[in-house]
Amino acid sequence: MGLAAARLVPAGLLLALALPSALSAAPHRDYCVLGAGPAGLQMAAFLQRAGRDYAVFERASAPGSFFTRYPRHRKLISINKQYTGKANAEFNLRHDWNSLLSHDPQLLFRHYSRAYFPDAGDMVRYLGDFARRLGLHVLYNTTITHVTLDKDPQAWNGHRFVLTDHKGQVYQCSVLLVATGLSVPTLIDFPGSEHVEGYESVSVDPEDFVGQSVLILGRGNSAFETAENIMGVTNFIHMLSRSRVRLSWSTHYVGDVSWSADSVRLPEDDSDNFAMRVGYDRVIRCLGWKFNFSIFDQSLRLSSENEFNKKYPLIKASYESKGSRGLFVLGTASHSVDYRKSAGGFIHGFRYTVRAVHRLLEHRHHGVTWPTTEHPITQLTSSIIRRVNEASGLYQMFSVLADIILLKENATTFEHLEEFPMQMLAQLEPLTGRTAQHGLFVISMEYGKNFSGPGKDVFFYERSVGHTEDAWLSNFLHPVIYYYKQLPTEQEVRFRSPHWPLPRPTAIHHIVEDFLTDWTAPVGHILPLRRFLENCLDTDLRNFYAESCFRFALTRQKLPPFCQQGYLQMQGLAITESLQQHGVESKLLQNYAAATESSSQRTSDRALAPGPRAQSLDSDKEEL
Amino acid sequence: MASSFSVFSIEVFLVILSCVSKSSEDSLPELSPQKYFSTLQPGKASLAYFCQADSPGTSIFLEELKEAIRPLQDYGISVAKVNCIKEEISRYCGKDDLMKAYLFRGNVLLREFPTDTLFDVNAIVAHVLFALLFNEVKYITTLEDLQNIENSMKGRANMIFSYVRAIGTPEHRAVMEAAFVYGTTYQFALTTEIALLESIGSENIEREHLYFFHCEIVLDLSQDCRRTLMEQPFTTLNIHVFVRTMKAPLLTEVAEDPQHVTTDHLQLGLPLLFIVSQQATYDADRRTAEWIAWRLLGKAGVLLILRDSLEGNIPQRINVILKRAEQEMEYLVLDDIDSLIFHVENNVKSEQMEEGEDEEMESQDLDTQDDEVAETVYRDRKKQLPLELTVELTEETFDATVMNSDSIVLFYADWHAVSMAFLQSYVNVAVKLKGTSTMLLTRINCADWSNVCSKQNVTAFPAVKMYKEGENPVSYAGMLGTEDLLKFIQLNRISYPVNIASIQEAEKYLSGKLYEDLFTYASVSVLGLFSPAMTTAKEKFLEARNYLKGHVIIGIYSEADVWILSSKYAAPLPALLLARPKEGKIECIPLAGTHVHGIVQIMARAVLEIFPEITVENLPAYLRLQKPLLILFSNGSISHQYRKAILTLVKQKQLDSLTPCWLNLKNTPVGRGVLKSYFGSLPPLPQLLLVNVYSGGQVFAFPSDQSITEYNLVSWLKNLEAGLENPIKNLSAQEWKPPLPAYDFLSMMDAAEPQHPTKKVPTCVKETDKQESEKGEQEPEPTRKEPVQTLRIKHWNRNYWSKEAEKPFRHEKEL
Repeated sequence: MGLAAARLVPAGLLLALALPSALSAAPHRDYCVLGAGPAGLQMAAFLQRAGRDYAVFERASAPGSFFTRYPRHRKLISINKQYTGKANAEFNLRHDWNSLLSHDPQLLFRHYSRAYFPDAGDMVRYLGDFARRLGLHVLYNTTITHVTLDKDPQAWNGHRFVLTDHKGQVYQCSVLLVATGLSVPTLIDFPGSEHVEGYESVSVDPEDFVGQSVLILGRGNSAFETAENIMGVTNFIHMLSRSRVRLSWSTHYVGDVSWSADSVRLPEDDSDNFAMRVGYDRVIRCLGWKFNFSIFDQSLRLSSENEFNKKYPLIKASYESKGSRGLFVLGTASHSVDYRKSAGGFIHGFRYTVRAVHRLLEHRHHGVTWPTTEHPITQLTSSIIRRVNEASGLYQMFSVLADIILLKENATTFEHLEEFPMQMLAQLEPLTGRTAQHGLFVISMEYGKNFSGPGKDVFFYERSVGHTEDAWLSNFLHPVIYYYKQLPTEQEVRFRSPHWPLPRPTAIHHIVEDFLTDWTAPVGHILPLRRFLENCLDTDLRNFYAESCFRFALTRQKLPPFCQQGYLQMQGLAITESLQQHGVESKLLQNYAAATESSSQRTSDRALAPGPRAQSLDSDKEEL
Repeated sequence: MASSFSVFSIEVFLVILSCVSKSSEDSLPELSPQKYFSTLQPGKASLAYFCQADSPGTSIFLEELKEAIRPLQDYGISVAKVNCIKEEISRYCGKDDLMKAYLFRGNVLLREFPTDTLFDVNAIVAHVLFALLFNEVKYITTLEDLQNIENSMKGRANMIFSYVRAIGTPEHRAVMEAAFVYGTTYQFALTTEIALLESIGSENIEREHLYFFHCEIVLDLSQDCRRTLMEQPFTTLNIHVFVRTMKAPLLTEVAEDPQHVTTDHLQLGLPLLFIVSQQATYDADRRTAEWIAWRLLGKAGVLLILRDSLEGNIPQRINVILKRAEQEMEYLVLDDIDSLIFHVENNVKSEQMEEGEDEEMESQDLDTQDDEVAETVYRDRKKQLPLELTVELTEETFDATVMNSDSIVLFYADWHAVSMAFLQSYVNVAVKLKGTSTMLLTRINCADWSNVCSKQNVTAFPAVKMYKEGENPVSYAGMLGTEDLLKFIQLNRISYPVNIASIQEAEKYLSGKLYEDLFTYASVSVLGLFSPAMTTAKEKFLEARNYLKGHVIIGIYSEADVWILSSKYAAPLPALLLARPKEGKIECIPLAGTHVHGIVQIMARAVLEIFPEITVENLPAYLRLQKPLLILFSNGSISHQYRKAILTLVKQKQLDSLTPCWLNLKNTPVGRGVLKSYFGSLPPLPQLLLVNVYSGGQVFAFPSDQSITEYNLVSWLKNLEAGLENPIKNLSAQEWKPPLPAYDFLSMMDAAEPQHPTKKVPTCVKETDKQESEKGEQEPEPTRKEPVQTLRIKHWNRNYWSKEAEKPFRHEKEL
């Protein structure tokens, strides 16, 4: 009845009338997190560390209940690389797709499993420990059955979120963070579809399939996982779907199939008409999951993108719902932002987007500006080089999260702001509390424009680019730096070219791809980057030894930034003998000490040799 | 007649040049002896190489000989290879491998050459011309020979004397080619005797010399001929230009507008210098002009012009006009002949230099490293540093190490060039401290352990911090070099401030006897005097100390009997005593009401000396005073007399507006680079200069003909103040622009993509366009106009580059 009425009367009004007394007594939280899966726990960890008032609501009795059942065959497809050859913890996260972010080095997934593709049980154990060790406030066994809005001009967002659990207990929240994942299996409807078994309930015991002919609907990871499990005992398996198989190594999309598909037949077309002639013993549906919209009241206006695709709720690039301010969608359910493009639907991606949301909230509600580090301009090149070499967030959430360099007046210093959602660039100032008046660089990682797409041969000839001049043709994931003289407007971002993650910049730089993702080559990577930066800033960003600065200080009125910010501050860089030697050999430095003899002689022979100078002025007069 | 001759000479030189540049493909006529002798014409010279018909192994010589065909032909000398065959026996056909080349005039043999003397094309041309011009070019070996020729030329003709290191060198060839053209006009003399060169007072004798002896004008036999040394590199063309300028009249008088005047000099790329005179001072001006003309002989043309003869379009104060080909005329006021000559010489020099640099610029590759630190570190990457002397820390060991021992930590990144350059100095510190220090030297690679580094608040590399038990870590803020860091570590062996317990101890402290060993590293010690009740003043002092750790020795005395010191040193409490034990001086500075920052400044200034030796390390400290520098450049330590003169003036407070200092080129060799940039070459030393870095960037030189005395100095400074002196150099105020362009990937991407990204949205295009036209500099021409097939546009807006941006780079190289 309530629902029917809600359709006729504005929801907020109804609730305000119906529930005033219940609400005022209801416990209030600044932040409510729905779901104690990886995304919910990740957000809780950030809120906890920031000392915020929050609660996590979890239907099950422990975190990560999805992983207690899925994947059905227990093998996770997210990699857990134990050894990367590097010590850098941040870099190693590039190869750890299961850990959540925290300050506790014990809470790294590698302490939980040694398998490259770990078991789902280890994930459950890990998430349990994560919540426990960090002391996160999770209300277990609490199923939120209904979420609605209550208008309140005093509230942070002009309204509060009202949550009702299965026992009728009501909670009020200023900000609602939905991390419920995708929990509704996608169904299919055709005559006879009632005989179809679902991935979520089909037997995982191969014995049950001995000698059977099986049709699997779907060609995602769950379909292949199912197929592989029973392949040895069936007569044959056919797989059917609307689109062709995408293999993740060709699309760089982890959601695409990473199983070996060699031994499974794929009926590409209907010409053999097998299905018409011979029947299948079983049909299994492996069509993926959708977001559960059912608990959200219409007043929240949390809708899906369109009628046909109800997989994801509609959100902005800041992960905030387009329908209600203060409602954010996190984790797998937020994948609409980068669906089929980046890693936002997976732990190794959304752990960073959750952090970005947290930083936005810290600024919006607590006046904490987005963290930055400030450096002199001489550190610009190395600041970028450091990040592209170690940052995991940029690497995982390529083309989604980007570092921003905000130049200060006269470009003598800059602020480095990490992992901002690129699509929100136009709103950078209000969202972060930082100013971008004097120009900015955006550092993101991107695949080449013609790298991939299903069906393209990723190993095509000349795919890798070795010449710095051709860096813009790089295909592998490589750093791209955009320079804007001023912040792009919202319109520019919205109407950008379809293949571009950002609007047209003033200038752009690509750091040439590197198979080891090691962008530290002095001439191949650093030098072209420096040239790009100094041309954008119209200055000279070279490093100089103290001796060179000394010479400039006495022979020029202006000094290059490196000398100004180092040498003149009495922090010049002294040279050692062997470096000096190399400098002379390379002709970039002069050996003034050795030049002594020859040059002084040259001067004195000029002074002596031509007659007039040696003779007096008087004798000249006589003579002429 | 003279003019037709010069036309001829130009032609010859052009021909020569064109031949040198292009490798000749002329074929070498191969003849039998009989055939060869039949071709010889009377009066014509011919070079023939006789060899066995079937002998191999002489191909290198033949290659060179082939190359010589063209140049020799230009002098009317033919070349041939004569094949000795058994049927024709010739006395020129030697035995098997003793083949020689022979020079004939007509059919007269002039000279025979073993093939090893004709080792290359230069040697061939040089030797052949030398043989032919036997009379025109006298080969001499002693000073007496030279004097004899010189005497015989006096009043008759000029002569050209040159020294080359050996016969057959390219330089020898250049002289011989000049002699071929000018041999009838001038007497040539040539030597390879270095002793002879030395005996006529030449220096830098390891290189070639060419002198023009002005003997024609000498009438008195007892007088020597004037000499002009050619300073340009020893090439045929340069000798030609040089001789032509010698031929031009020394001083020309003109009555035209300088705008329209032109002489040989301009054509040869040399400037013209007009001395503006007037009727009243004509005689004196003419003498001055002649004197200048002599000094600029070969470098510029000097003309005398009467102001009265022109329609007053020369501004009144102007006395010199400098005209260069295709350039604006430069109007100058110069009172000092030396500075005038420097000005002209430097102009000539810089032009020549820039021409050379231009070529280099063209070939400059964007992928060539032009960062001296990055390049040197890269080249040195294989060097084995004794890294074991420093402890490498990791995330696991960091905390335990810095907690358990007094340690210095270097935070660096192994891919970061500046870090790696400093790592070398850091290891040097470890070598010097080996076994003597209680301080543990450690390092941590932030490329591996970024978490540790950010936890220690290190966000930029390299960084050095000192961790001492019970104290907050101190960041090292000194020079990134061995000496300064060593000093920092040594001075931090004790904790500051030193708490002085008694008057006796305070006296010992002030005299430098307490912590004697520390005075190797610091020249100044500071003692804060406070009465026990002055707590806030003390706190400020203690705070100020934190900024100066490792720079100054700091002590504090705050006992009840502090008044004894207070009255002894006339220091009203609270006060600072600055002691320089080496100089035996103690200075007192009252502190009442001074802020922390003020105290820091006082102490930082205290380290400065009144007449310091400027070094690379300490210059920034003196630049902070923001006063013009009065620098005495000296090769070695300066004489007592100069020091006294300057110190006296300092005492008389005559130099208060300046920072007097001196520079020892032995300790600071880069000072030579500074001097060269001021003078174009190294001036005689010592050299006293006033360098006004902050206002206007002018450099003034103390007149070299005056001695540095108090009196002269004061009057020079007064002249300076009155604006009566001319700067020898105006320091460039050029901003530091990018040394080279960057790849313009945006244009490349546009060119590859048929559709311009912003084209889709008309509004955006408009905005961008507007922005472009407003700012106009950064964006290149809208690249949409580029033909689509232009896939690679290598340079980012080249036009923009060509003028502005190359300058700093060029400057950089030129020094």
